[in-house]
Amino acid sequence: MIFVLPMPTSLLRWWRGASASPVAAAVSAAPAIDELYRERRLPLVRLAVLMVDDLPTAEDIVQDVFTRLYRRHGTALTAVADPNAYLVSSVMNAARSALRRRRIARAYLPPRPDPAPAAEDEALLGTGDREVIRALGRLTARQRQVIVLRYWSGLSEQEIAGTLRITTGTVKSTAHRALTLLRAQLGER
Amino acid sequence: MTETDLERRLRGALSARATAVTSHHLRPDPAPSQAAASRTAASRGTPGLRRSAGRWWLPLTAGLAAAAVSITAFAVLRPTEPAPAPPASPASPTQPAVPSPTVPPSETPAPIPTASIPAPAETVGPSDNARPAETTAAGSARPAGTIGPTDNARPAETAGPTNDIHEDKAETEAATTGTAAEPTPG
Repeated sequence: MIFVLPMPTSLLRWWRGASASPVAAAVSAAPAIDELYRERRLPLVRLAVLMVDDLPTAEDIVQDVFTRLYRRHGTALTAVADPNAYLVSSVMNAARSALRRRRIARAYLPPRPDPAPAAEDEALLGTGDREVIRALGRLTARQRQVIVLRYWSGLSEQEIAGTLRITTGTVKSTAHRALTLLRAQLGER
Repeated sequence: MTETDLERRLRGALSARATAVTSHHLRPDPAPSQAAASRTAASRGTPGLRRSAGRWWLPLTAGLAAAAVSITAFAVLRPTEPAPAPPASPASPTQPAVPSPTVPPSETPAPIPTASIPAPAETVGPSDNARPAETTAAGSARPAGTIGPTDNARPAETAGPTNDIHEDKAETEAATTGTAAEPTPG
């Protein structure tokens, strides 16, 4: 009589993991996500800095976005039609979430004095630029997204609508309202 | 402030703020694939992976060991003698008697047999051969069918009723023949 024992689950899991794990695939295949990371990390960090105005938070946002992209789509990125648009949209959403968390934290924490700007920022940014950046900080997250994507990334209204998953009319109205607020704030000074 | 001036100021301020962030300011984070690989290796580790893969036989061995211990314990602690019989209960009148040869007849008190109540099961069958005389003195009260077998094994001194029967037969024979039935004078 021959007894056929079923293969244990741990052994099956080990076999499956050893045969087709993301780590093994990353070693064998060309890591497309690594190239994308090297090319797009700095622009995305700059984009996130314009949104959250904080370099460590911006770096965390970009790192989380790349990590989620790797976990969801692996290294080949064949399932992603436009990785750049995907990354910009992800960074924008993550920055919006960070601003929302920051606003909630400010509602429950005592107000802190604004950190002193770095010496490099003082040297690179003029007084007018700092005023504009400060005025941008008073906008809502959606208005800041539209302004940054329109005047720094140079995207059209349709592209902004596709990135933020909103309609073109919403982009137009949001941009108009944001410009009105900025004009009012900067004109007072 | 016109629309063009505002847009120009916005573009200039955003460019200056973004340019202030250079690659030197960024912390040296590894690529996501390398970070995931290092994180996986740190959390699981190759030796740990081998250890977890080589541990599949552990539950199987544990089950076999438990079964062996159970079987050994049963074999060692199993009672070797048969279980004692339950105490004998008096036989019911409707149940047929079952002879038990292991019980000595002397230990069981012989009940007085009567016509209406039969004797207990242990004392009826085989113990009749060794029955004492005084207990069988009332054999005349037995039914006729039970007299024959019991008289053959009965001792001589206990055969009183049987001698009476023989004397009766002799008297009847003498009466019929008219000779030697008379007692001789002393």
